[in-house]
Amino acid sequence: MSLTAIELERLKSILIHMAQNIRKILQITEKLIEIEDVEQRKNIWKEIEDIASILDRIRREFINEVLVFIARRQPLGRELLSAHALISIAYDVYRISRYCREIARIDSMLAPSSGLNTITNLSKIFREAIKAVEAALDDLIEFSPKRVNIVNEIDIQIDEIYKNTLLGISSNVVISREEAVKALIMRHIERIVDHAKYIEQYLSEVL
Amino acid sequence: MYSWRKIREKLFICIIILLSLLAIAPIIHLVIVVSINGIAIFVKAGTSFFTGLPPTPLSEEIGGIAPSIIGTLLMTMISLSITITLAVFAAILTTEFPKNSISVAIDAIAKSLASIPTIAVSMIVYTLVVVPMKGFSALAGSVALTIIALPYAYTYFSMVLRSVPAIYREAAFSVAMSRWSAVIRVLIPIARKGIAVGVLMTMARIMGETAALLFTAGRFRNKVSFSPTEPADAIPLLIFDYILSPYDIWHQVAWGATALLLLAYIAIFFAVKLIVKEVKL
Amino acid sequence: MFAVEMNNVNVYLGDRQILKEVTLKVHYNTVFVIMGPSGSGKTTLLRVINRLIDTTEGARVVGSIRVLGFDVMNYDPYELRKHIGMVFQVPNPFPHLTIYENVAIAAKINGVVKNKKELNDVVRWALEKAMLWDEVKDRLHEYPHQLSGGQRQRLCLARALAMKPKLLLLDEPTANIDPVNARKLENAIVSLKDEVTVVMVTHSPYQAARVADYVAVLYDGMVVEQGSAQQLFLRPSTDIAQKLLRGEM
Repeated sequence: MSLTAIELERLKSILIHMAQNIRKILQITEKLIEIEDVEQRKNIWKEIEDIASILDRIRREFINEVLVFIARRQPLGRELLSAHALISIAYDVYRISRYCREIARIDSMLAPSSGLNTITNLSKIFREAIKAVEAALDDLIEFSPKRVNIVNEIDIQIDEIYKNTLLGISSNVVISREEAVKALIMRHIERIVDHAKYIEQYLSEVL
Repeated sequence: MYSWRKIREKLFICIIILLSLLAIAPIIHLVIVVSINGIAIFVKAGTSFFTGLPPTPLSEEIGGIAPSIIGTLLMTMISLSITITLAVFAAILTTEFPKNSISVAIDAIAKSLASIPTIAVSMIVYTLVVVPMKGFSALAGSVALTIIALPYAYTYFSMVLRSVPAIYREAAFSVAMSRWSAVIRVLIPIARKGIAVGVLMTMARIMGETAALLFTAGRFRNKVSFSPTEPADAIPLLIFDYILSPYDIWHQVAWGATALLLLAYIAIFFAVKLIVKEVKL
Repeated sequence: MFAVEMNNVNVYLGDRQILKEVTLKVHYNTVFVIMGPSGSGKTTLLRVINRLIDTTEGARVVGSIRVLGFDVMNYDPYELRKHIGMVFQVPNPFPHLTIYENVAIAAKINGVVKNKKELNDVVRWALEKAMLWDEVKDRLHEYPHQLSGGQRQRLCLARALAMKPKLLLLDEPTANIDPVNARKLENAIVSLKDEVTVVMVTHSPYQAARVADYVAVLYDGMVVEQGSAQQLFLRPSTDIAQKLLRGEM
């Protein structure tokens, strides 16, 4: 294997490691949506915050490393496209963590009163979103968009739910707090699945 | 403390210097001896050495070697012009078309001509030119000289032209020069110093040739002759004859003639150094 | 119409086949780069275009080659070369001519100019285009051996341009010169696109990436891939091209 290829593999593994943190942050966010206890929720907010900052820092360092790789090894062809994909996917991964953070923020605003667990079906919907991201991350590990259909299907579903949520709001003059919060959270979930879709797109461009 | 290596080094250098001196010693000795003896003759005879006629065996006056000088000049000029023209054309031909059958033939002929002994050339020309003409002549001498000089000049010019890097020929073609244009405007000008040197060296060769003229020129030194169809003399012939003679006055003339020849060679040597600006690649 | 059009061109050197079924098309006013590892036949391909292949012993060319509309194999090569300039791998300015004369001779031979003033203008224009004017404008009477290798190569470019050719052939022009001069030469080449069509040979994919509009990848005498530079440098379709881009060949 050439030096360039070896270096590229190293960068891929850093990105994959970053991605593992996303699995964690999604799991924690899922828990947040389900539990009721304020104290536990407080701990989770902090955890999400920490992981998100770490991911942000790792992302910046990672992009630097990729740029140095490009300058030094001057990749062309597939390797150049891969380098671009790595930078783009790093951003997508980071954004997913940001949206989890936003969801945690909304939850903290609602405290100490009812948490997200009171919103119907939210947990189920979030689990679908996690499925999409998991599929994208698995594809990232294999660096091949094998599961793109799964992600696209979930994306269509989530888009539908989001649209319906917005329609539900726009058709009433006065809305309940639950409906408002649901709309906000739905927006974030929809974006999370979008980023999973982008990851698949970048992977298919490299081929 | 001198190491054994350093001693060896110095010893080696000494040996090299010694051997080099040994190699040039004969030439230096030659130049010195000829100069001393020859210049004495010039002084004794004055300018008439170059304008007068050779002395009779028993005369007291040195006289001169005008017929030989004129003869040498005449035969050199005729021979040189023919030789250079033919040799340059042949060299151009074989450089431009190396695989052509004519080029191969020329190369072969040049090699074989070069190996013919000069005395044999003299006899061949005797048979082919002197006998039909019913007499010796400067022309016959020139023909013999040409035959001898041709392979030498051709080989030299051929080497000179071939040593011009091929990239310049390609450059010439790339600016849309025709084949002939490339030769005239690029090949020859780049090789000009080499060609000039070749001309001068051929001239030196011709001037000093003796055996070729033995049965062709005629050794006619009683009067100055400018006609190519009349018998002529040459300086080397005169030296050859006079040195072998028992007469002291002729020996002196021979010394003078030798010194003149040597002077001519030195002049050519310096001309070669100074003439024509070298083309730096 | 294409500046250069080759169809199923085969070139043999004695028993060996150097080029195999080469087919390519070069658009006018573009930089067309022929890329490939050493020994792939790139120089031979270039020399077929201006019939310089004729000077190689035992060379045989089979196939259709049209250059600037002429059928190359059935046209007078000396006439053909009036429209094609060439810069070689080793800089070869005429050593017996001054810098000025080197450029001028190309213009004079091809009847590009009518008088001395026009000649001066062309010489200046050519040297400016080759990005050499500023460095030699006060030394036009000097000889090429006083120039550096990179300057000599730019002089060769100026000489080629003075012919006002429609096609410019460059055989690894920066192979023997330093990086700074190489860049200057590359910039000059790219700026020439408006006036000439450039066909350039290189073994460096990076150089090709810097200057090419179109690229043909040559491997073992065959055109393995051909297309726009962007397409080739981002998404090469053959393994050989990818290896070449990685510098593994």
